[in-house]
Amino acid sequence: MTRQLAFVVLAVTGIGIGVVIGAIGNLGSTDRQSIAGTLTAPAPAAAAGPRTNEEIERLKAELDRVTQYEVAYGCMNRNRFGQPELCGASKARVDAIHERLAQAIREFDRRDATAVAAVVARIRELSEDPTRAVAFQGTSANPYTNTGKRIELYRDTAGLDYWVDPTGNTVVQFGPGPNSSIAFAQTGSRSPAELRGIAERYLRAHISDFAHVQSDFAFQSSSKPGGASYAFRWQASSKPAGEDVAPFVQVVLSPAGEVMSFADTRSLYTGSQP
Amino acid sequence: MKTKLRRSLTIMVTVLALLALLTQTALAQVWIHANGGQYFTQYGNAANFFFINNDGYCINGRGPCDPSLWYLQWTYNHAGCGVEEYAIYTMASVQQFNGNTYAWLDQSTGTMYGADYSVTYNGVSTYSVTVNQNAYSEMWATIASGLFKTSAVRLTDGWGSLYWCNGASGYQVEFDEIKLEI
Repeated sequence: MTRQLAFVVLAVTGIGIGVVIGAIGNLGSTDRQSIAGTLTAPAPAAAAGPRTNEEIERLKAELDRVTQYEVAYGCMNRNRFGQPELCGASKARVDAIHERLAQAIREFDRRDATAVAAVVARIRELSEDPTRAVAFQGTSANPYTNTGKRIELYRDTAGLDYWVDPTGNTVVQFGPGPNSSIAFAQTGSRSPAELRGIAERYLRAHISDFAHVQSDFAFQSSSKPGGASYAFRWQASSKPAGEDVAPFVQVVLSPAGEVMSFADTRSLYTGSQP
Repeated sequence: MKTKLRRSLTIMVTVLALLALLTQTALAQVWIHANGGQYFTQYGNAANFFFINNDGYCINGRGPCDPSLWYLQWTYNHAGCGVEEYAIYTMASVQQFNGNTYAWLDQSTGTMYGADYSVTYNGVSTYSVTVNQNAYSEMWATIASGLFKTSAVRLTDGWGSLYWCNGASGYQVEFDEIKLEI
């Protein structure tokens, strides 16, 4: 009896130690921003984590299994930094499963056709191209706010990435995405005042309440070294509670006045996930 | 008997501690990896890196970083083939999910329009990606999306694969915070 009691006491102590060690693990990293939500959220409204289903989990397991097999018996070489990576048929086999996994996640996360059509319409309006082709790429927690509101990622055939707040089908940012080969001008003869005029005209045409932005937010302009690009930014004077980045509206222009990127992060701080 | 009981309890405590650690890690969705931080390793000639204090994502009043990390760093690009300086951001936690990686880019530097990033995912796969740092100012830019078990991001001073062996020089490559979002 005494032995059983001792066992229970020690077991409880063990759990306590485990929890403490876990907490220490959390505090030990000064680089980590936050932990939030759950990774297997049953619905988008319940948490900001990614959703999953049986097919996605099956593909993950298959990817793990095949990767382990190919690492053990398949084609491996070293990349230019000396790190091992798959090659040849082994790489092709694993890449194919990874693509199936990515596709399954996209299909699971893609909203209905009406919502997607609304997003595409907004993207075409912002890009000033009524026929621009865009494709849904997936979702993630948004990088700007700590509240964990998720964004959708779309990509067009020109290589621009669009971040969409699904709450109101709002494009919160666009710019050249990974491996975009859009060749923006690197030189130009426009003055900073001319460029600001271009930025304001663009925003006036595409943000219905831009006049309020101008009156309520503080304006800043800046250029990268050598005038490589110019940013025109309207930013809230204070950050919402618990946030690190203040809401802002911004356009970055090339020296020739091309719109390189756009952001309007205000909606990320309001409302809830649909 | 006592020895057996002690051994069993030791194992149990260890397992419980590991379980607690795993549970905590499994809850994480957002991770920031700071240049200069414990998940950042730079290679090449250190003298070729330039530093701007209280600039970048982690600055006084913004970001989770220790004050010792309130700076960004940059280096001039390497013209032609190959690289001289580079850095590896090792992800603080490798998650069993497909995630996105983002880089914070500033107005004070980051003029490189063909920055050479590569992302390690699924343990032994590499996604090589060219990013236009010049198009972003005081904002996050996508490096990669939808990669399973992202474990590292590498950034070099060379030209990305889209412009590999480009002979142009004088561009500034920014090394600042990298975010992993699940």
